[in-house]
Amino acid sequence: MRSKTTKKKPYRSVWSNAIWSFRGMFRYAPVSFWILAFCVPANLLVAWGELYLPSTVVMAVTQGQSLTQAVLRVGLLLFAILLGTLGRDSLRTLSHSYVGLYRYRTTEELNRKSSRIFYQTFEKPAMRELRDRAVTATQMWNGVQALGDMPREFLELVEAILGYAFFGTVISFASPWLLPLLTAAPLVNWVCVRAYQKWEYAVREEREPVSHHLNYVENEAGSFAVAKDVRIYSMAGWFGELYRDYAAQKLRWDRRRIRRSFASRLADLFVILLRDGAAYAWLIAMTLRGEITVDRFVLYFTAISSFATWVGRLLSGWLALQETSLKICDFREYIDLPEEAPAGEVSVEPFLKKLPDITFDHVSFRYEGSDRDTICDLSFTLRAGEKLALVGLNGAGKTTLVKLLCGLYRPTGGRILVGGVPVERFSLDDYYRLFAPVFQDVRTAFFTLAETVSAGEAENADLDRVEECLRRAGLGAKLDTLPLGIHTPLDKQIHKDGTELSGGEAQKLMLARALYKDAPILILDEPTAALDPIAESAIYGEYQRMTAGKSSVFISHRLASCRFCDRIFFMAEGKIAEEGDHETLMALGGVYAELFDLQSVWYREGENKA
Amino acid sequence: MMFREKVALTKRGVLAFRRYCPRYFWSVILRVLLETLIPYVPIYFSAKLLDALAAGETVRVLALYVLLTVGLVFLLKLGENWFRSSEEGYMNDVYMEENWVFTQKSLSMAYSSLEDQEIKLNHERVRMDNQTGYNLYYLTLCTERIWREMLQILLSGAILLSFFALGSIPLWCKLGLLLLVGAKSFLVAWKGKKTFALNDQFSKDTAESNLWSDKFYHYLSDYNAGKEIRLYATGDWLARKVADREAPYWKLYCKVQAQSVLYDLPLLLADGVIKLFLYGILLYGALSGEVSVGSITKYVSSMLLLVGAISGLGFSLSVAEGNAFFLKRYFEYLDIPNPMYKGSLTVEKRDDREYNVEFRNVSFRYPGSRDYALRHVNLTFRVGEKLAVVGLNGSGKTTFIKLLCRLYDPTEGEILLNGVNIQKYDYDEYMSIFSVVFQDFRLFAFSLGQNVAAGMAYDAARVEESLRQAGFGDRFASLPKGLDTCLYREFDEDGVEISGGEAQKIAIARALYKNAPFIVLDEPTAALDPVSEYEVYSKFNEIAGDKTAIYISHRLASCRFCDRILVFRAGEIVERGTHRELLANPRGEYHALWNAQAQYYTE
Repeated sequence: MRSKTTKKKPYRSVWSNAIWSFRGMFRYAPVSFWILAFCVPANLLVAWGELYLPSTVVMAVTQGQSLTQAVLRVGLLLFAILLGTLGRDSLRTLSHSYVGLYRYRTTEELNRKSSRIFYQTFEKPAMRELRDRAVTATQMWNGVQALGDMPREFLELVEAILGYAFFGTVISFASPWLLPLLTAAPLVNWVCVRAYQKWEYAVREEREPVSHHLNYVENEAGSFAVAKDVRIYSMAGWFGELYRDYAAQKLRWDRRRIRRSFASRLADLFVILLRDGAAYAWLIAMTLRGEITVDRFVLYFTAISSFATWVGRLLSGWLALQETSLKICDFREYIDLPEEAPAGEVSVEPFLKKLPDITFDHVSFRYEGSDRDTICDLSFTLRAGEKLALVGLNGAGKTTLVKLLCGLYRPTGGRILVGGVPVERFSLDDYYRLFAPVFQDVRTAFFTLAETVSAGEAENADLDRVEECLRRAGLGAKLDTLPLGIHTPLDKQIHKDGTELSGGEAQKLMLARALYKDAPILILDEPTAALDPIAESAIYGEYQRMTAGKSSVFISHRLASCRFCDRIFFMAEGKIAEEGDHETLMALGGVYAELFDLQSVWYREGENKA
Repeated sequence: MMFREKVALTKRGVLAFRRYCPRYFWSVILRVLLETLIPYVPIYFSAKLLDALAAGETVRVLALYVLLTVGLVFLLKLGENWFRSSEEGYMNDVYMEENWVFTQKSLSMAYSSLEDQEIKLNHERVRMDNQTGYNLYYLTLCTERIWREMLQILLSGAILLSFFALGSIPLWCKLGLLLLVGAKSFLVAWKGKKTFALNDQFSKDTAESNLWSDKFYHYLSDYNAGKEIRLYATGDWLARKVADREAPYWKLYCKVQAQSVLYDLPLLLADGVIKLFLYGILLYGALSGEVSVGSITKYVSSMLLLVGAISGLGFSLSVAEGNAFFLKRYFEYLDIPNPMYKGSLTVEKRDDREYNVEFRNVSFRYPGSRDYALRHVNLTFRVGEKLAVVGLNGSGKTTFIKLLCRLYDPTEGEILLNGVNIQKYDYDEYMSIFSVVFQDFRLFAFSLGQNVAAGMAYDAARVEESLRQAGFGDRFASLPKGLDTCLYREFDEDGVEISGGEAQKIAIARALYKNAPFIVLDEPTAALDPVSEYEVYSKFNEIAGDKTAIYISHRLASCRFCDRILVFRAGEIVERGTHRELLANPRGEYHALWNAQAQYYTE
């Protein structure tokens, strides 16, 4: 989908990441380090025992040792193997759970981070991708998780090096130059596998869209949200056809992949064939010449045939480490992002008690990658206690203006002043306390009504006020039907006694939350779009009471709502095109008046005729 | 769940696995067969080689054995690798197909089932189960493992037969060995029984918690939620909530793992005892001359494989057993019947659009609800009329439309098409007379043409005509790739992003393209600015043409150009008539609604 042709340098090196993850492990789950570290000697003990066991048996028989002596020797090796296996298996199993602890601690860290990155940065698609990749790094996939894997993989590499050295030494006793030969042989396989992987990577861009399409068709078609359209427009056939079409394309790719992958594996098979054949021939010749005894023959052959495993583990261990390291880079890059929440030289505390004027001083804003300003050179003052309405066509810049006001965006030009203080001088956390917004896109997660309204104050929440706010927002009737009252969870699926809100009710809930926050500036973005006329009218009626002693900004397509506002900004192309109260703007006879007429024409004619 | 039921479910699961992707299934079976055979080749021939070497046989004999060992291994690996490659290639297809079967179920299920809370929950559960690996993944795992373990027991057993024929080994040793193997099998079964409860609890608990985390994850990963998280300072609370939520599962997991370590101890010890005992016997046999050097390794290796297979089998069976619980709800979901597909009548195609639909004393309760959403609705649609439906939120407007389009069947009363109960018609046939633009309509990231036609093949001229009629003409003219333009940039760099208003127009075009005698518009202007809203209103009659049109809106202005208005309150039609008639009644519901809105526009 997105081109990944430009290879960028990893955020941090493998070494840096290894040290970093060991540190994290020591901080969050120190036990798991020791568990993993002890796996290394345990594994090597098993490998040692298994290498010497067959030859010891052969030696006992060929040398005609006594039964007691033979059983003692074999028994000793068996005991070592048992001990090693016991240690290795138990430690490995235990490490899973300890690494789990590490995992959920990192998830917490990541979630915390997500809520602390400056929103304007956070919202960017590239940042969302980075976030998704960082999440992948914390997620468990088939029992493995990148963050926890790094230390394990690192220690496994250490183990592979030790095993390689040990088996290599044994083999050099047979013949010193077998070693380079046996080391080089698996490399042939490695080259072939790399070639295949390269091919796979190269064609991924052609291949992946097919999988993406398939997933898209499956997910979209299966989603209950499309169910009505699917039935009315008989879309099942369309989706079926799309699925079969893409599945057939995928099959063609699969076939190509299978042939390629098989071809890449052939080299390894031939190498094993030659290696084993040659090793047998060599060792048999040595035995026949009387250079080694039969038990040595067994020892060397066992060593040679398992030597490739160690070489393989060295290579794959190194590759795995690099791959994991990239995932850790994603996580660290995300965690290291600046939080852009400066310490704050000025406190907002005084403005919570006494409403401030908010001034936009030649403010401009341009989205990244855009060739024109969404807000251009905007100057105005929202006076303390003023009720401001923002109107304009879709795309006029109203929502962007609200985001600038709330501190979610920072102007690309000009400044914003609160009570005469430039916004940058507050800490963001502090600054957010000034605003209680109701955003257009309603999201109700699945907490209880009280948790949602009190925004997670949980046990500290003032429950009476929660209820009062819910009633003021028009949810009183709904509340009375709920046996659990304000403690009703907002999800019927997870909570048997939960409830589900309609679009209109959710909108009211968001309003209740804004009321509960009781911040100096109330911002309402299309709060009545999903409401029926009576409920809409009730909100308008409540509006005066809601905004008493506050400043407010009201955005709506329903121009009628502007009539309660002290001042209306009619926005067009990022500027304030017209300004004034309803009467002034109507008298002006500009675009606002035109739009108002457009919207009211049906109502007025009705009145006349009725 | 009874044992027999678990077996039946697993069997059905394996058959489904085979059906989803036979290529993959058979590839696994054959690959495992070859893979299992491979270690037995050196076990068998190395013994021969070693004996020959110890006995000082000729080079020719030695070479023969080497050739046999190396050659056979090579051939088996060749086959094994071929199947392994094809497995890698086809592996995703199984899951893709599993997903598709699951998707198709949502496509073909009765709509009423989709809105059923219980079924919705099961849908989510099964989806999460599949993602976690229950059902198909564990089935493939178990099929593969059990097949391998059975082969190993068979092959090792065959090799060990000759051990029991050895004369020099005392009978009590042989019996002792059998006893040990028996004891080990018993221990495996014992472990399975002891650990099953906790494992099962853990997998069920995590399956439930996955449901929660999935929703949570979606909330947190939605960047839009980032606004409220910041402004309402809920970030730390949310992060803590996730962590608190995960902690008990982690603790339970630790317990599961610790338990597994504990119960594994006797198993490992048993393995050690068996090995030691076997070596002892064989060394005794070898020193007394009957057992050859090579055979020792042969017997020991076979025995190790056998003992390992027994433990493995115990594990595989317990996984299969645990998975049965998830298979049950998987198949229960797939088996949900569709009561909507009973009718068989066809709907006559008429050019005069004389389709008479009548509601006769229709009442409706949502499944599981005690309150009526609709009560005693009597209504005859006049052919070609423009009907407005108004009322408060929750008064039954949308339910009314859902019944009309047969997304639900009435609880009481009946709906008739040309005098015949609509349930007697074939479902798809009945659907063919409706075009509906729902409030939450959906468009897809495919070509514009396909979106309008809701199909792969379409009549280009008619699609263009529909787009023009819906008011999308200007934008359409500006698209260089015309109907082949992809919507959204999801898959195509050249795709177009469309605004809410434009999407609405495309959805209307889709309704027009279908050219059904009934057209229903549900709140089409909620998200539109005054100009776009005005456009839709003023084009309404043009859009509807000679069709019977039903219009639902909170913007009562829209009632002005309708022939008849139905006012719903608490599931009943409380008023009906033209705008003027209804407004004439100052105590009426309509009057109240109208004035609530109109007061702001009239001076």
